Amino acid sequence: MAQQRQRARAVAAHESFLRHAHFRWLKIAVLTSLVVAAGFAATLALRDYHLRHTGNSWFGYISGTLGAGLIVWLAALGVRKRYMTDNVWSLKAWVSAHVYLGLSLIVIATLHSGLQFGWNVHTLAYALMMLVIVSGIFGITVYAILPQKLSDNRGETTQKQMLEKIHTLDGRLLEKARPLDQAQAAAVTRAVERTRIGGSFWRRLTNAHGNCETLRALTALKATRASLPDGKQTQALDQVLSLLEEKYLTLEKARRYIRLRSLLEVWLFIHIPATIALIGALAAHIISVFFFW
Amino acid sequence: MSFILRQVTTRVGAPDIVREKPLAAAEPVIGRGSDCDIQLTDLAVNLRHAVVKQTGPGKVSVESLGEENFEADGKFVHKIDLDLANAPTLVFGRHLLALTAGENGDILITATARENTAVADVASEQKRSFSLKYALFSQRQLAWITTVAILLACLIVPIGLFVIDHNRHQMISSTADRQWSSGPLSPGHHFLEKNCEACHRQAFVSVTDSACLSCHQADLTRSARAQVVSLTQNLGSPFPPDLAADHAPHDRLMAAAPPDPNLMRRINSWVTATFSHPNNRCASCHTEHVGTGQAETGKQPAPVTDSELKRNDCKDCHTGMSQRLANAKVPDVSDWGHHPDFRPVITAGFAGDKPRLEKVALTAMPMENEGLIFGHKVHLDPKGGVANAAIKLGKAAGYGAPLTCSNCHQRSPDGGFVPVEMKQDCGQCHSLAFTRKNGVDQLLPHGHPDQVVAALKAYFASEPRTTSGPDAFLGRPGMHGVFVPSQPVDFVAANVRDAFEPGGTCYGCHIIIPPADKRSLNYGVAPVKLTSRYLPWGDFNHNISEHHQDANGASNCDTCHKTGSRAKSSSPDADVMLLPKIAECAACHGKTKEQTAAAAGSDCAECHGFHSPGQATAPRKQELARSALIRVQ
Repeated sequence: MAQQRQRARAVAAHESFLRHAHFRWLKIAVLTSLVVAAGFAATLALRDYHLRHTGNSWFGYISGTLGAGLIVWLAALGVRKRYMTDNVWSLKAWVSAHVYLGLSLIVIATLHSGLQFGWNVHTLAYALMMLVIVSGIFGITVYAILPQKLSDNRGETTQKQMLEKIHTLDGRLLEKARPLDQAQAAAVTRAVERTRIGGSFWRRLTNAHGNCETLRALTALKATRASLPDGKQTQALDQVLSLLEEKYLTLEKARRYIRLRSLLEVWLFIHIPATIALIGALAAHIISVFFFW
Repeated sequence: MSFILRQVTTRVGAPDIVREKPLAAAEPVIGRGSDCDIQLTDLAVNLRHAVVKQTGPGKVSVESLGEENFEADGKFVHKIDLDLANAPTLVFGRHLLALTAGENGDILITATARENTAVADVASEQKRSFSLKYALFSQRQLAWITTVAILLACLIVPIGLFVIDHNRHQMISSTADRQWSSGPLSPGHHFLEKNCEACHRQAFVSVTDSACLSCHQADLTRSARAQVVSLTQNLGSPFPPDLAADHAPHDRLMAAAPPDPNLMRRINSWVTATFSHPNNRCASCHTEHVGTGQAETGKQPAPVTDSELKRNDCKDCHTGMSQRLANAKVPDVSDWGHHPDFRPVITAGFAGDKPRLEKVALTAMPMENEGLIFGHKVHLDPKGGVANAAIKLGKAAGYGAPLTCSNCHQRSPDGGFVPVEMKQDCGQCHSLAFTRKNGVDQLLPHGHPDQVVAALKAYFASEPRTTSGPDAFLGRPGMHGVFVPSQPVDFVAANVRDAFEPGGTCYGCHIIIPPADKRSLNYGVAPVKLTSRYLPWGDFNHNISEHHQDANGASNCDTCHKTGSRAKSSSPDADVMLLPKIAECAACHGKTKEQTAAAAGSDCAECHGFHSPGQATAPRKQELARSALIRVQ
């Protein structure tokens, strides 16, 4: 019985932010969206069902204030996550609210706009907001899928271990390649000196390392080895081949890991700058509206 | 038989340190963890990497505990069986484990840490390798750059141009401001698309009525009006602005309006007024930036929704208004049934040459003093002398029958009448001819007594009076025969007096002002003012068929204008007002189709325009659409 309780507690502790407190924030977000939609419907009815600007109405001002307040609060996650607090307003609760209330902005801001779009600063703010939301949805998706894959791929090794191992192998390679002839040794040196783990943005995301020097050296030396008979002379070559193979496997693992990690991170490169840009556009939207009232 | 671990620590410039200890475990575990029997302080080694088992005398097996392989004799393997006789070497990270047979059948494991050839700064390399930050831009930098760019382009530049330039360079500031536009303007205002400041004149102040009235103000002087028209033309307007005259000053309109019975609307008005966005401005109803983006050549005002139109109704203000509005000149009218009778504006007399206009109740049977000696009864009597003369004039001259209204009064396209012209409408009978020369009547100029004298002087200075022959002609009204002199006379003086004195050309219709000096010829004529619109605050369109013909299509002026009975007066040369009472209108207006086939609406806007009081309101729908504050049924 006690064990069961403990287990239940453990499960609760590992409850994802999406399921936090029995979907409390999902419920709040849905309720908020419904209230806003009802307000929009009422405004529409009062205006004889002519879909036009709704910003300049009670509904518009209230939904606009709500939306702007939400945007500022959602952006404050960047500040909140840097501070440790007591269990009240835990970071998990905050993230859960961030996700669901952020999604409810789709309803709030779209209805606030009255579906009137154009090439203007108001639509710019809306577009930036949608960009932030869409990148956020991508973020939630990769966070739900990728960490497991990441962990599976990496096994028990850490990032540092992977690097250390590669460096150790590089050291060993240089050491073992000494007896090899000039051409072979040059291939090994290139493999060591031009080890590329990360690379450019696209290389990281696509994991395309076509001209990997390690693989090139491995292929070349394997071909050489195949043409030689077994014997004492090939002993050093065999050892180098074995080291190269291990290094290549490690490199592949590290690169797969980098690809997954890049996918996990890439949306933030849109989400964060677009959020800050959105706050700028939002300020321009609000000020310009009242400037030319 | 057990395992003995010998750990060798190499030191630079000093002898190696060798530590030896027997291992208690029968199957020692190799790893980085502190619980391992053979602990290798090397990150490239797993916490529990592999286990060593003795499989026989001089034989061991090493097996990886996780997925990570280890190196044995130059090969990477997961599991390997080793013979101690071969002195096998295992490599875990940078540690070399040499397995040899010790004394007493023990197995000696010599662990040596090789020099670390790895890059010293693994931590920074780790960041570079694994974090996307080093392959992509900095989030912070991008955030700052885009935000500052947006604030500059979308906020600071437009505001700066508004403050500094203030529409002096319209193209520059409008290009900057246009990004703020929430939508295209209505077709009528399309030409202002690039001119935000035309309406948005002050920062943080809602569009004021004065901005609208700077183009749409009615009651301007002719030159001010021309200025406005030219200004709008310069701005690119294809048509002059529609004039919008409020039918009362704004503050009086507001004072006249009753408190809104709807609490929510009262709260709304209070809030909007508090936040400097009152809802009683022109722009409150004429919402802009909801257009199509297309220009139109016709006049089309900004759309006003029905909901906005219904907010204010004529009767809302005009019921009990006298209690709310001191010195209200308009009587309370709660509905059509309570509309007071007409109070036409008539010419009551003259102050010098200027007519004195007065608003009088029709019930008082007012007489108009328009300065003309004229009676409808005399002219319209079918058996009178006028009728006889008209018959004699014949059809060729446009008569040939007793006179009717249309002989003098021609409907004009604006719903009123073409002004009566003496020569055209009276001249067939009331001739201005004073003599005949070469068979052609010589006419006196009309409207200018001094020119009459001048013309007679000029004629008789050179021409004797002809009394016979082809130039002799019969007198007509205004001429009383041919003057035959018995002795030489002053033809000029005689003819001038002949025109102005009783029985003369002018005398029959005009009030003559004789000269103070009897020898002088400076005759004058009292001013004349024929009223064109008796009801300037309303509108009556004579062109509507029901307004000028009966069911058979026959002209029916006398249905409303009782020339027969009501025109009776003590003098045949004067009329009481021939305007109908409102009851005549009520014969159709306010009736239902069941009551009369010619039933017509009783809405205030049928006759009264809100923004164009006294102006022609046709076509009716356009007026209804334009006047924001009238009810649309």
